[in-house]
Amino acid sequence: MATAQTPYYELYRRSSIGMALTDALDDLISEGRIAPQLAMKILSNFDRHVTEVLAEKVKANLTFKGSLDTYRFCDEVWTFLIKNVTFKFQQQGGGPPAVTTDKIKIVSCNSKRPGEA
Amino acid sequence: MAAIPPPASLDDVVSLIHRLYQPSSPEELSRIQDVLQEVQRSPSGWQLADYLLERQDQHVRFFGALTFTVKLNSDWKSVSEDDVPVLCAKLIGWLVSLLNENSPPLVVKKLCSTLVVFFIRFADAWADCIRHLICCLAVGRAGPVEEFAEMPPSPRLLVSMKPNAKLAALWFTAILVEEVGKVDTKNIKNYHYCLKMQSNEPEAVELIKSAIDMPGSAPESVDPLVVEAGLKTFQAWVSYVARATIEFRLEFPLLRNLTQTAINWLAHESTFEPACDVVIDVLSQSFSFITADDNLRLATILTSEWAVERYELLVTGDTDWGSIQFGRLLITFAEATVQKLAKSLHSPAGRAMFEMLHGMLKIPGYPPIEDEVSGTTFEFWGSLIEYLQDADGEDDSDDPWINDCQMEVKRAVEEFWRKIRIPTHQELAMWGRDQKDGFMSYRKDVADFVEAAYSLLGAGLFRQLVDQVTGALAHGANASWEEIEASLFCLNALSDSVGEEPCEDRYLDQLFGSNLFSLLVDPGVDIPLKARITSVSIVGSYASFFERRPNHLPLALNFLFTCISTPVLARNASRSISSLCSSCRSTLTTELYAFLQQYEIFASSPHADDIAKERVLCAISFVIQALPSEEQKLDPVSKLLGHVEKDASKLLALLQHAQPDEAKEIALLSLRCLVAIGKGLQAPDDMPVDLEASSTASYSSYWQASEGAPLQAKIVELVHMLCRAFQGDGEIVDSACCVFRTGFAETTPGLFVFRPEVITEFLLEYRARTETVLATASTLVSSHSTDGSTEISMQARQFLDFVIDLIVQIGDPQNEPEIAQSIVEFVSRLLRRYVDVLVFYQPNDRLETLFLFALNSLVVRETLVKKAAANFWTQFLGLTDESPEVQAAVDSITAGCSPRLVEKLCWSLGGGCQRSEVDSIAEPLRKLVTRHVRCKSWLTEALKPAGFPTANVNEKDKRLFVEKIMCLRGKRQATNQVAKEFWLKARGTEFAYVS
Repeated sequence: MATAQTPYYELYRRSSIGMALTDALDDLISEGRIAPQLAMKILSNFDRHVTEVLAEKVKANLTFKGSLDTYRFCDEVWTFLIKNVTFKFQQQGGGPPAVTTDKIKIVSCNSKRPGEA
Repeated sequence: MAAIPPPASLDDVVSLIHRLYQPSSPEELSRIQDVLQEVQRSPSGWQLADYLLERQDQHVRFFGALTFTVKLNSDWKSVSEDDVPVLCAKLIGWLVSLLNENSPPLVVKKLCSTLVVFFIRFADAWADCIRHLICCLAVGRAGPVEEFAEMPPSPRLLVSMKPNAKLAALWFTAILVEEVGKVDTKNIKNYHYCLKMQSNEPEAVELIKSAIDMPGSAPESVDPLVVEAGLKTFQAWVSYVARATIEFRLEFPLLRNLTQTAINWLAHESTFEPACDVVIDVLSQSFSFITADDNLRLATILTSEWAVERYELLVTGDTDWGSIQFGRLLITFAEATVQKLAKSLHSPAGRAMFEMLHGMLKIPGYPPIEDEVSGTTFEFWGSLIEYLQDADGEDDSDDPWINDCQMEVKRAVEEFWRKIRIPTHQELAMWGRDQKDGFMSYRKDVADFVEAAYSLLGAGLFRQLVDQVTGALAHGANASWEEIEASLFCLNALSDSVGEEPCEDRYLDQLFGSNLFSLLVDPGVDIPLKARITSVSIVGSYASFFERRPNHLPLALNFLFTCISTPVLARNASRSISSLCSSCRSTLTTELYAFLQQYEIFASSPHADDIAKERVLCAISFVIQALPSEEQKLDPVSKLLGHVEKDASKLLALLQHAQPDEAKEIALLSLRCLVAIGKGLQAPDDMPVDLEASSTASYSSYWQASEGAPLQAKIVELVHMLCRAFQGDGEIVDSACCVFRTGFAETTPGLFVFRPEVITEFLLEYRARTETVLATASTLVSSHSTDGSTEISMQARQFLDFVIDLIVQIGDPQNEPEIAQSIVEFVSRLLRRYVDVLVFYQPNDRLETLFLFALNSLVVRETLVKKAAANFWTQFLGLTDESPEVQAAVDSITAGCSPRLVEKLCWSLGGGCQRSEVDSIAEPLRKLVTRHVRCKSWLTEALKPAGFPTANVNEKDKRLFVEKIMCLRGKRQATNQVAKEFWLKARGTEFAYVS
């Protein structure tokens, strides 16, 4: 179990749900209902919980195939550019049909921050 | 409810505190709390805190400590430099007093946390806080720091300290490091806290040491509460130190000396659980803190006689918390040291650890209902596989330990395979919903593990699983279907991983060529339902194999068609049928009429599942699509449509008998079936493109002007009939639009590729369902905007008339944001091919109304409308390659709209839009900068009024913003950054809380 002091990536703040949360916090600050310090605390809780939930609770998975066009590993961050990709979803009761796209970029960070393990 | 008057006396405050701890409504408690908080924050809060701590009631005392905390947080600036040591002495004095009176831990801990808040506020004045507190507690009174300068060193003071005082010192030391850890470390102003923790480390270590040091002869003589508090304080410090070491490169060398002592407490009954918590936490969160010697000590303890006893208890299924914790400890240690463990597989300790890890997969009972442990081992096995994969290909890849570890993984697969066997019907009936979900979730984890193991073990694992199935099937009717199901489940998990290797096809030949299907369809054999479901799924999962080996298709399809008659299997079976028919469509054309017959039998059953019906119709349509000519498709597709018409005809009777709900269900089903057929008839994505083909006229004439035309007309008539029967009901129109949409993606005409005028007529007839109609119209326009598609200017104009009528009706986009979004998106679609229809639209005043609407859509509250509008303007401003007349009209509109457009963009970027919308709103601005020479003057003019967009930006900020935007010449990232900075400036500093 992570302790309160464990630092978490702020990656998921750029996700739709993270941006929606930030917009909602902005509204609350505008209306004078919360202080920016509380907003910071909420966002750091978001960083922690979204990371933990994705790691522990999410069982759905998907597979994809494509041609690896470019890859790099810099500062503990892997980046993959993949072309002609097909995603297949594995869900109980049949998921959505396969999704194809001409290009995707995958950015992946170590689940443990540098130096932690 | 009556308002609570502000307390007039101290007794009133005490009475309110008492009321707060008595049962009451949440509203009243909240009001009491508000009143108390007001008093706490008042200038007399300091005196109030003293007064409350003098009382004997623990709740009141707790509130006294809390009042000090509130004052320290809200009013600390009012404390003068001279008063700081006085306040410190007062707080410590209260702590000593509470300890002397043996106050309960609740109040003492609260006061410890108040002292920590004091430290955070006045850290410079209380740098040696731990030493000072130890001295005060040792002498039993508070005093200034200087007074204790000559006192003996802390270890000597701690020897004779009372346990409750030591506990208080430990609580303070733990809370101290936890709270300091929460201070924003990114701010350089807070760096000094870290240095102060570093300077306090020796005292903290001495304090923890005095609590957890193990007397050599009689560890039983120590106070377990003190040891537990010492271990928790150690845990808090390790956690802080691990982080500070990474972030600030600061060394805390002394704390490590305590690790082995903490580890040693594992083997003592009374301290096992707190010690276990600490070790697990350190292993999983701060592994770099552990030294090689610590590791060795831990390994020795975990393979000692004591650990073996614990382990024996665990594997017999003991669910005591201590046993579960021990299991967690083993796993965490194994995972943290996986590399070392793998390489030491042949050492006695390594072997013993692996045996324990395997043993944890043999705990009796179903996971996680009866066995809570095996599910915690996935992480370890996953890490081992990852490590072995990384090691493979390195210099030491020939080392025997790699092969031996692979065998361990294989063994683990077998052990998990035993765990996922399905329970009997009677056992399952006893389980609740959560238990069933837990078991299914465990099976999914096993599936993921098997997939990962396959990447390491390869075809050998695949063969083993197939052998297990065929071996079990050899027992015929007496086969163990639980075993077969578990193996098929694992094989199913591998369907996406296996390639087209000849050996794997050979194993699949062995599997699907066995008596599996014949036993499954044999009504005399008692087979659990779950085994049938898994068998059905596996056929669909390996559809590509059946494509390569069509000789297995008849048996597989026979099995699947048998299954669709069983309601609980129908959906899975229909999915697999659909998968097979899609993959093997060309091979199956000869079986088409047999399929139609099978469908007829299935559809005639009163219990036929609706979703299964749709899927099977889609599946048969896949096969029809593969027929070489349109003429050959006519008869089978007519038969399929006949089934749909038959269903649809029932609804009229139901409507006559006043059963509208049932009738509507049938109508919706009929439309969904049409959609399924339409999708099935779509050309596959991987079909070759004939570059030589000159025309598609012959296809066109067949479905629209030849023998096929009546069939297409019949579909349109059926759709109209269903919509009219329900007076344009929204859901029916939505489904009807889906029927038309199935043809939009097609590049060659077909049965479901309708004439645009037919679709337009339908959509305008049912315009009341505005959003669906506009979305379908948008897709229609897009599908007729690609190269080679027919032009539909007339229909585009008809839709534009409809859209402008809507705008006139709505007025402000804020009145109907969802429709506004659909309108703006539709108009955006016109920009690809039908710009002329838009810019030459007459009368002119209606066109102005449309553009004004698009401008106003930029400043509504709803994000999606704003983004759609921003996208429209980006596209419109980017139009450059049109014919001279069209381009002139575009430029004229741009010149007319731009001042107002720029004003709205500036308002949005000046704090008017949400933070997440800044990038989208900056897009049209980028286009303006790159395409229009007057952009700078428009921007300057828009930002001229004082106080616009907000009072937070002055003339200089505005000028800088304009200059930066212009200089960047539309560079995306830099422009977005400047826009964000301007937004932040306009909103104010309190919005800078996020990077």
